[in-house]
Formats: sequence, structure tokens, C-alpha cells
Amino acid sequence: MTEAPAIVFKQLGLRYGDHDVIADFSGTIEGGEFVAVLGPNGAGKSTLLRAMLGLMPSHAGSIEIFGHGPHRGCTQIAYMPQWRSQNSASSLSGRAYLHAVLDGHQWGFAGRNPAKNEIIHEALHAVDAEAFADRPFNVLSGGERQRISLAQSLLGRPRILLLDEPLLNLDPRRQGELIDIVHGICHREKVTVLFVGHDINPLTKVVDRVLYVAGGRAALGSVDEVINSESLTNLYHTPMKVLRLEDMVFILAEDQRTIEHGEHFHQH
Amino acid sequence: MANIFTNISDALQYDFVRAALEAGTVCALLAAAVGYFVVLRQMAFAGHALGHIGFAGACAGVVLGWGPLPGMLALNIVAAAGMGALGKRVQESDLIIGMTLSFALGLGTFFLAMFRGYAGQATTILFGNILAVSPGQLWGMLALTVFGLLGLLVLFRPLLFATLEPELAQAKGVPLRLVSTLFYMLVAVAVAMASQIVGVLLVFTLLIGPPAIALRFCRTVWPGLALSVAIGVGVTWASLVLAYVTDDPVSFWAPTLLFVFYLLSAALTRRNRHA
Repeated sequence: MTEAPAIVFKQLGLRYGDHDVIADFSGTIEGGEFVAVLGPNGAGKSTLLRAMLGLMPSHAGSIEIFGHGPHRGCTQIAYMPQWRSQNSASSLSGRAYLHAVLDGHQWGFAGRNPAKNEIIHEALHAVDAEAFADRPFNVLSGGERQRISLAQSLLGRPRILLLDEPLLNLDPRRQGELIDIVHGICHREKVTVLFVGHDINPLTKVVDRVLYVAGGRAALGSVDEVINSESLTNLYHTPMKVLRLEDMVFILAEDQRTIEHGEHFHQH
Repeated sequence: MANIFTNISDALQYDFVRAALEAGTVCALLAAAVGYFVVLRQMAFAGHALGHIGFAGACAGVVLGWGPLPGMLALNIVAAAGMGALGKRVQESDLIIGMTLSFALGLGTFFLAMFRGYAGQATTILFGNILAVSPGQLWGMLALTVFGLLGLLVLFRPLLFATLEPELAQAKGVPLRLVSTLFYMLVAVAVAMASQIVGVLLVFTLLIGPPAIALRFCRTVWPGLALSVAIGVGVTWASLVLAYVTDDPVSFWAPTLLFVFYLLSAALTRRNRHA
């Protein structure tokens, strides 16, 4: 029997309050694919991830994760949430944070033991974060924090990684480092990656496909299939232009305001 | 110096001093342990509000003839259940918490006005009176502390997870609202206990002070929790001794010592950080 695909969306509809975030979206993501999830702020990228985690019900259609509906506590799927500014002030270390996440879903208390230490060591090693794992969060740089947060998502060897804006507030060099780490994991462990971002440019070299969310709809396909003037005009319901300069992609609305370029430094 | 020790051993001859020391120890212990999570969750203001709600409860308890502690516990636990049930939006709203706590303080004043011994009761509830703890009350406090610590141990891992990464915890199946409601109830108990020593106005001292200092030094949870408890209990003992020796109230010494320690710890860790 062949294995079910990693993620299948069937005529999916998601609503947030009264408005449609995504309507009638179908598509299949295979195991081991690296998919960039793109789109403007508030378009519903995070909502889509939440639906896959079982944190919000779908309004219409369905999502299947390896052939099963999304549910909380699923061990095959891991999630790296957007960085919480509250945690930046924390004086706990990355290692303490990973210990809290590792068995935090169980009641009661427990100390450390060699088996848990080993799992955490592996996750820290995979993101090259051992050097700063025992320093408090409030002295770490943005890139170091993101790597600890990424290590968290690797605990328990999941088969799907949902990464919500891991490049936020990183300079271009740190962005490149983080992308390389994620790409390495995806490639080595055959893990399916959904990587939420604003800008396709840092990701062009590593992505297999793009899932673009805008204007209440979503489109899944190769970079060229999705990021072209016609396809984006359809999604945004407004005339869009895609310009290419060497290997860079720029997305502009007809009024010449850049949608994507240079958006990755802004604060939330 | 010898004089002070003679003073202390003299003091320990008195039942009320021993009762104060024992009551202070259990109250400070629970407050520092629960407070560690209050500080991590950044819900200090909600803890403060529970102190003020406790004031209304204590005054109602006095009027009804139950005594301040049962009244305070009852109203605090009801308020904690309400805060937990109303969810994150209310818990993080300074305005809603602020309005509620001022209403509670007003309500307490109303109850007090119905009572004859107005001034004396008010001072005791607002600023605490650890020297007036009776042996019967002591057993009640011990039972509450054991209950509170057991509750904290049961909640320990999901509480920590939900504190650091609420969304992730929810995705992993942690019932966020249940965990936060149960934790609010523990805070309610800890606040009612701490106010026996330092009063409702100074509950903050024992709830926030020790963990705030401990978190500056400890990078991991268990050592942080242990240091927080050690500071809380140590400061309570020192305040009782100083109060006995100088005749100034415990409610002056405990916040003063913690404030000084906090400034020192801030100065110390600041230097380390730049090194």
C-alpha cells in the first residue's frame, strides 16, 4: 500500500469571524516537499496553519494529514509559532524552554533524565544551537532565538514542520543561515516543510512549490506557476505585475506599490 | 550581636512569636512558589487585583462573623474562577482588572462601615498582623499550603508549557482555559495566605518579590523555584526578627528587604551581562 500524501486540502473553506479567509482550495503536498507559504499580512497564512493543527475547524471541505483529519496532540506535525515578544524578556535558557515544551502536555511534574537530555541535545545539534543553549533568552540575538524555537519544533522527530514567519526580524545573512538549516533538515530527514514568509526571494533556491494566500483564496504550484502576473491578478482581484530582475522577483500592484519587497524587517 | 540572639531566643519563648514564625514560613513558601509562575506569566497585576478582591471578601467575612481569612478565600476563589473563565482578553486587560479591583476595594469599605471596629479591622486586613495568628488558624494555613503546593505540582508541566508557548501547548492538547483557571485558584489561595502576613496592600511583596529576584539568577525552572522559595521564607524570618528587635512592623521590613535585594540583584546581574 502506498502511503497517503503528507497533506491534502479538499475544497477547503476557512472563515475567521464573518469573512472568508480561504475558499474552495484544493491541493496535495507530498512527503518531503519544501513549500513556501506566501501572501500579504492578515491574508490567512497563520489561519491555515492553525487549521492544520486542529486549532480551528474548517468551514467547508477538509484537510487530511497522512490520511487523517487534523487533531490536537498529533505527533506527526510540529509547529514553530511566531516569536512572542514576551519570551524575549525571559531569563530562562533555551534548554529550559525545550524541556518545558518536550513533555509539557503531560500532567504532574518531572525532572530531567538522560533520555530527555539526549532528545534535546539532538534537536539543539540539528540547528547548531548548543553554544548558546544555556544562556538566557533575553541576551540572545534574534537569529539565536529563532534557532532555539526551530529546535523546539524538531523534538519528537515530526514528519511535517509548520514554521510561522521564522525569518521575521532577521537580517539577510541570518535569514540565509536559518533557511539552510531548515532545508538541510527537510532534505536529510524527508520532512515536509511549510515555511511561512512574506518574500519569495530568500527562498527561491530551496522551495519545491509555493502556496500563495491572498484575497480570500489560495493557490498551490511551482514558483513560476503561482508567481506570475496573471495568477496573482486572479488571487488579489486587482491587476498585479510580477517583475524579474536577474534571479529576483518583485511583486507590484498596478498602483506601483510594492507588495512584497523589503517587507521582512517590519515589526508586528 | 549577642544581644540580638538573646533577644531572639527570649522571643521564641512566647507562643505568639512561634506561631507567627510558623505561619509566616508556610505563607511565604506558597506565595514564592506560586509567584514564580505569576512572574513568568507576566500576570502580576492580576495577582494584585486578587489581593484587593480579597479585601472585600475579608471585610464581608468580618461582617458575617466568619473571620477575614475564610471570607477572603471564598471571594478570591470565585473571582479566580471568573477570571479563568473569561479568558485571555480579560486577563490581559489593565483596564478591566483596574476597574474590578477598585470596585472591590470600595465594596470592602462598604462592608467595613457596617462594622463597629472599623479602623482596627481595616488596618489588620490592609497591612496584615502575623503576630495575631492563633494555633487553630495555623493548622488551617498549613492545610492550605499543602493543598496549594500539591496543586502546583499537578499543574506543573502543562502550566509551564502554556506559559511559554500557549498556542503550541494548545496544539499539543493542553486545555489552556482549564490550566489557567486552576492556576488562578492557586494564586487566589496564595494571595489570601500572604495577606495574613503583610496584608492585602502588600501581597505583591511576597508574591512577586522573591521570584523576581530568583529569575534574575536562575536560567532553569527548578533552581529558580527553589531560590524563590528560599528568598521568600528567608525574608519573612528576617522581617520577623527585625520587627521584634526594632519594634517596627513586619509589613515595613518585608517589602523593604525585598526592595533592597531586588536593587542589588539588578545591579549584580547587569554587570554580569555586560562582562
